[in-house]
Amino acid sequence: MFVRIEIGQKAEFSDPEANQLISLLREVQTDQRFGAISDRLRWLRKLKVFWIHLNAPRDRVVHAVQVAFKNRVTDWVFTGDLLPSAAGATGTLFDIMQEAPHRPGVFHGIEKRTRLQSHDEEAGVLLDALQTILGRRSSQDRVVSGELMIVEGAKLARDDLEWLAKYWFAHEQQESWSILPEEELKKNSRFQHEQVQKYISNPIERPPSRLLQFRPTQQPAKEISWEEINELIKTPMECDETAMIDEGEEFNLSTEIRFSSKDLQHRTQSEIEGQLVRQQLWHEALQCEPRLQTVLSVLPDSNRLWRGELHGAHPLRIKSEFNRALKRVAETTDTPVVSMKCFESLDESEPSYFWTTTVAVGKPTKGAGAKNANIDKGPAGLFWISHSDLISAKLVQFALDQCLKGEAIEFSVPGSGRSLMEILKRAKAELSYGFDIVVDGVEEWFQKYVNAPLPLGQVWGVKDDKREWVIEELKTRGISFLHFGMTSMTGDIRFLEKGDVRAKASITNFFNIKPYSAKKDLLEEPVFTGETRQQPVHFQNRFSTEELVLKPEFNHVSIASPVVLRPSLMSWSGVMVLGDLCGTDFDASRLEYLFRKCTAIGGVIHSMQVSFLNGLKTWYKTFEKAQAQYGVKLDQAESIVDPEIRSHWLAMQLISRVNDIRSIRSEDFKHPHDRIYWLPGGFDQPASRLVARWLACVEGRYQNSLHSAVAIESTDGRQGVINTLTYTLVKRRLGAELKLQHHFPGGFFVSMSENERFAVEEEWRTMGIEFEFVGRTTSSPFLVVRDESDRAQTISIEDLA
Amino acid sequence: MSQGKFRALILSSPGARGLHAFEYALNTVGFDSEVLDIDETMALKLDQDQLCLKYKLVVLPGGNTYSSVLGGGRILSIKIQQGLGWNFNKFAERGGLVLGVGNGLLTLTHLKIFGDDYSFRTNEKAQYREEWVKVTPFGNRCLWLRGLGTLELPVNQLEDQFVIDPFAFVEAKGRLERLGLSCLKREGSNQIYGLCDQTGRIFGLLPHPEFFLSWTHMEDWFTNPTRAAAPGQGLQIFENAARIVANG
Repeated sequence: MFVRIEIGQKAEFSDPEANQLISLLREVQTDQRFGAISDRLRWLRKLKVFWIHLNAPRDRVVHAVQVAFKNRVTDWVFTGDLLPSAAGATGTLFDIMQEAPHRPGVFHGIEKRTRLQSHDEEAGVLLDALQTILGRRSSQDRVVSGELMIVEGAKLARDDLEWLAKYWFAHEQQESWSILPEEELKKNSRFQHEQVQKYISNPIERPPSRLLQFRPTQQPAKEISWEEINELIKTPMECDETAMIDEGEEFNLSTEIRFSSKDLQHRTQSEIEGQLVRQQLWHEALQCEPRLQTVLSVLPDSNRLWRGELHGAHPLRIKSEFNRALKRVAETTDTPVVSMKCFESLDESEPSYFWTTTVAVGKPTKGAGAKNANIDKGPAGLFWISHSDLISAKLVQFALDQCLKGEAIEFSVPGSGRSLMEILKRAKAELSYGFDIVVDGVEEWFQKYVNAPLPLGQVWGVKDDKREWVIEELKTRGISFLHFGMTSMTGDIRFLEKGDVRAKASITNFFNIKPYSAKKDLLEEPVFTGETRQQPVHFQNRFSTEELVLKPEFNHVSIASPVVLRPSLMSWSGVMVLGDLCGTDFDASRLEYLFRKCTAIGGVIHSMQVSFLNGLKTWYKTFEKAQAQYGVKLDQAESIVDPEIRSHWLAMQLISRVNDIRSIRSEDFKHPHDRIYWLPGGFDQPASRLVARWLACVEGRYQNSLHSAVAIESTDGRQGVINTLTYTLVKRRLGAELKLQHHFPGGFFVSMSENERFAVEEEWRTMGIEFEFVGRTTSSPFLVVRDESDRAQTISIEDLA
Repeated sequence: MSQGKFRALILSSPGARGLHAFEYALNTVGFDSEVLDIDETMALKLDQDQLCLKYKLVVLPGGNTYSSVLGGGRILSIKIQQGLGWNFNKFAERGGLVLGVGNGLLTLTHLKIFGDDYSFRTNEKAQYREEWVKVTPFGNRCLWLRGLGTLELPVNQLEDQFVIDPFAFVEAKGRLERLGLSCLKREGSNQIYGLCDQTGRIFGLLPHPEFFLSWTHMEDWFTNPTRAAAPGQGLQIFENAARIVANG
């Protein structure tokens, strides 16, 4: 169970540490800017923060937290809704803010936490105490300590807060920090399970004794031949492909895209506007048990005249009828519908039309992944469950049913008659993120069966938080079992002995995944759940912008702002739809740019749909080529020929999966003094493809550190790059100083704060991702670009805005 | 003076100070003292009965125990209560004595020995206070302070501000005065520097008597070198303990 605890002195007591910091700041007169901060900072409070993961049931965790943290006399303990009575009147930080002398006031939060690789003594001591209260030790338990500083000051700028954080609050080599807005402080969303989990990684090395505590004592085994194991890991194994998940079968995603100008025109003339759309949506709604529907409409605005014959069929009327129809469908089918207006032309020779699309997401209907598709993958214990005869097989089946009902089992893999290595290699779908096998205590069993057929039995993946319960269930039923490892998210297969990694392989090698197989690369995470009703997500990403539309209601969006929806509350996975309408100038580079744009935002491209109006052959070839080259499915291609319309139009949309919608980004630079990097990367070369995988959160872990990512078209050229960067600066009236010394082919410009750079750069180096530091954003609204000879070109962002 | 037959336990924990000073003081007054680490004690599974049978006195030393995580003495109190399952009130009822010094007093407070409504918090300057203070015993509840006058002892403490729950202030304050639990105050002020339980056998104080066992421990002892061989005032507290135990 993941818990976040914040402890602060009650409002009626002063905070001596905070007062001391304020008085110190008053003494600081290094320069004018810093000296003035004490005037702008009117009030300050400090709270201790702990991120805790305890492998125990909720009631025991509540008890432990109560015993460890609650001090009725002096402290308030903020836990979200875990211990509501431990805090003040509202149970939020609002109670503490009430104490500030200037009310209502403007509050900010600065949070620091000890970096995971740093020694965290406080966390270690607390973990020891919590485990003492729980009366048991678990290697899964983890605590990270930190501090939260709430400051009040109407004139405090972000620069001030960063300065405070950097020089007065956090020790950057050991602690990371972030700034929280006032709204976030007043809400309790940061106590949510997922938010806490972000800061607590899985322990890498687990003491073997923890895994062995439930096993019968084993005789000392002979030495394991690790050379042999290493060989076995590397040996490709012919696996039964049908046993694995076929990505296409994991869920039921059906899409339809349609130009509707002809139909709509006819129907409009017979005064049943919107009927087509309604029918289309109803059809999807009834057929596919939809979770999500997106409708994109293209309609020239009031500057164009409707070419219909009947009086009153004006575009604005059509539009309102259309919207009303969508609203009705949304209400009656309980389905989120997004309307999109993305095209407006001044050319009167062009036709009027709607472009409608539906994306229906249903339950997984078949395939091995069907029952597991709705589970957020977390660490799972690997158990070998043995059933030697018919009676014990029945017992195991019964226990399995019970555990499945209790949602304790993530997966079960039949293993009889196969060697352990063979079973592991076949369980690719279940173990696709990596796993650790700990051989201590089971050396004999491991040695015997690693390459020899196992007796009757099966491998279970037991959810980490339900492990103890499952063990109790198994013990009660007298079923023999071995706990021999854990799944992990490291992307590595490791065999551990006495805490040392004795054999290691990457999942690519172990599962014999063909390198850069487009289909495998682009499809990773199942998205959809069995929830019957979806709700709008409350987006908590601090790097989010208003560009990203997440509310499943009517919204106007454009090519610059794709629709991102979270189909279920059970999972943070989402679906992103990015649409575009192109004319004759469409070509392969434009398509690749759109791919890159999806990737920059954080999506893993799943499929594309196109609809041609007087389409060109070269377009279709471009799509066929993309399908073959990148493995992106062309779900649907519709072609309408209308010689009366003397132009060529292509409506297209890309459906992407977003592994975690909290990690999506927008293009605009967010803060001054951010570092800007160039990441070369396209879809054509394996090396540069790594960038795409990293940006789409398929690999790596520090993507959240990025403040923005903007895709650059390979044909842009230098001036194109400058134009793109200018647009990204306009929104927040920021400036930048860049050194562009060479030609920039396809790739990405990304920005991040100084604070986050070390971790991200290290990850890039580790993964072999090329990067280049090109400059920084500035608070003065001028884009200054220098070339090889240090000549500067200056563009005023203020003028453009 | 006892003849070395009574045993005293000095409960050590990471960051504890003055263990040898306690050992010396207790041995000087006639106890047979033993230093045991809290984790070691937990490993030995020394339960309440064994504690009562084996020891007559338990000392909770001060110092920055467990790095003062969650406040001074907090973690140690959790370990004593949850890990060892000891109840000092019962120990005192069976004739035992408990002394908590510095953070040891805070540990006793977290164990709610003196009641639910009391706590200590960081002083207003948020600074470790290192000074010699004069403290005066109040009332006759505390057996440890019987017959003692004003003492001058070193104090070294961050959380030295005694607070009473504001929601039960009148009642809690009244209880404190009525029962005479606030048995040690700073001379010339109302600042509480020591507390005892209702039996008077469990005593906690912020100053460190173990650091004033000999007159030479005092910073300006050389101004009066003739007293160099004289015992320090802190030793009187331990002598009282030995007397109580000897008298049953």
